[in-house]
Amino acid sequence: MRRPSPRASALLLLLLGAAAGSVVDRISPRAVVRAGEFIVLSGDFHVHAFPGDGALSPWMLRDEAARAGLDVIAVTNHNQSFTGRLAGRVSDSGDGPLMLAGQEVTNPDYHMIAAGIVETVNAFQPAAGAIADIQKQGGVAIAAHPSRRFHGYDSDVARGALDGAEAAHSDIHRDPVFRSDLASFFARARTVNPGIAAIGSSDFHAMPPVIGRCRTYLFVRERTKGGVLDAIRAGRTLAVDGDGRLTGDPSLIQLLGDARPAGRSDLHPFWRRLSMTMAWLGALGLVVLRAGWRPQAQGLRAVSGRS
Amino acid sequence: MLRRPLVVALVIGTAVPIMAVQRVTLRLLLASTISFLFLVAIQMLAGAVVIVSVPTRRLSMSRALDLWFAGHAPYSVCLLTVAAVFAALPWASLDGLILLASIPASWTAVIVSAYCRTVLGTSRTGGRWRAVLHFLLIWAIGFELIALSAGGWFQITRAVAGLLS
Repeated sequence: MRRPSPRASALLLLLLGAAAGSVVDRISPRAVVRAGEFIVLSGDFHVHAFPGDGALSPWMLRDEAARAGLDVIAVTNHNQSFTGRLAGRVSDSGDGPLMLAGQEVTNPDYHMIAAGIVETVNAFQPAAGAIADIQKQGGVAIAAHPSRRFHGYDSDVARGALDGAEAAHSDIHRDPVFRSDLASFFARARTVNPGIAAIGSSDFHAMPPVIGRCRTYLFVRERTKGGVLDAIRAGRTLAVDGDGRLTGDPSLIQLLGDARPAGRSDLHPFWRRLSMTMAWLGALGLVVLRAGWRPQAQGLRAVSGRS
Repeated sequence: MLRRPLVVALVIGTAVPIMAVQRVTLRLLLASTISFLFLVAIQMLAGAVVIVSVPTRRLSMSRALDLWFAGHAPYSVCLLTVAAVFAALPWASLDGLILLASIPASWTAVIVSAYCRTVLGTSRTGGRWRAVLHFLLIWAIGFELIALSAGGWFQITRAVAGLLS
């Protein structure tokens, strides 16, 4: 019997790894968590997607959000809302986590999450103007990673008009200065805007930190996009960092008590890693091996057939 | 004759889910491979520009393009390395990995120059200026795409300033 070529073996290993990954890819069913009169949802309102500067298409993001234990995400690419609107349509056409159309309004002086919008917001205007445009569309405006390097939120007018501000963001786990920047911005914003929603976001693009690393608990009256936006407008949210620490209205923290929506589900971590390793080795084999047991390093002269 | 471009697409389609979600399923593999075919198309366009610049070549365009992708190994290995790093060390910093991209960039320039001499039959000098042309073309397209998806060139200049500081 003819021995399969190294490349065929590598391809087989890759496909076997992906098949094994598919078999063990299971998501735990989600239990409804209630606090007082509200349903508690878990959200991530700062997620980038493909096409754009994210790696996953809206279809893939929806699955990943479900694995991450999220009930709602907003797809927020930089200065375009096409992908976010696509995500909104995908969300309307199936089960799974809700997906809000969004945009990360990206200006040299500020970044702002626009969630629940219907068209692209002009990024090249003062923050107060962008907030007004977002709210006119029925969306919510959230200050994205408002650290000291952004001065667009320096005015009380802008801070007072915001619906929310990121009080937890994945980068706080790498940079203590950034953590204190977000905490002080949130505290300052609350002095002029006591109802501002505390938001936790991952800012997921294409690599860790994973989607939902930091997240937002929302106290909603109904599990709909409208219910989610209403909760943000009313400030009924808590920001949750990657260690589970909560930021926001103390009365909501008290209302939540020990109840927490379930987090990321990874039912078969060993098999997930094994299948991923198989696929990785298969892909590497496709690159470094050649048909006929000759290493790629033998050069282009060999593959071009020239002597 | 486009077997090698498909291999490159498959490698990207494998690396992306490993990097992004630390798992590979058939669905993710297929979706990522299709989503990032545009990167292969850009490489193909750059290759076609180099190949067309040598009208005296003895190979057909499709054969020459297929062989062109034999030179993608440095970027493929780099991509798989980055994916493995993020799968194993989720807290790894992107800054160091950006610097890592200089290795395949310079290695590829050497390969493109060798490709032009060996496969297309150019002189040593002809191979070198075509390698420079390819380098400029790929990085110009790359930076334009990054600027487009990041919201503007000011994002790139800010990131570069941050790296330098």
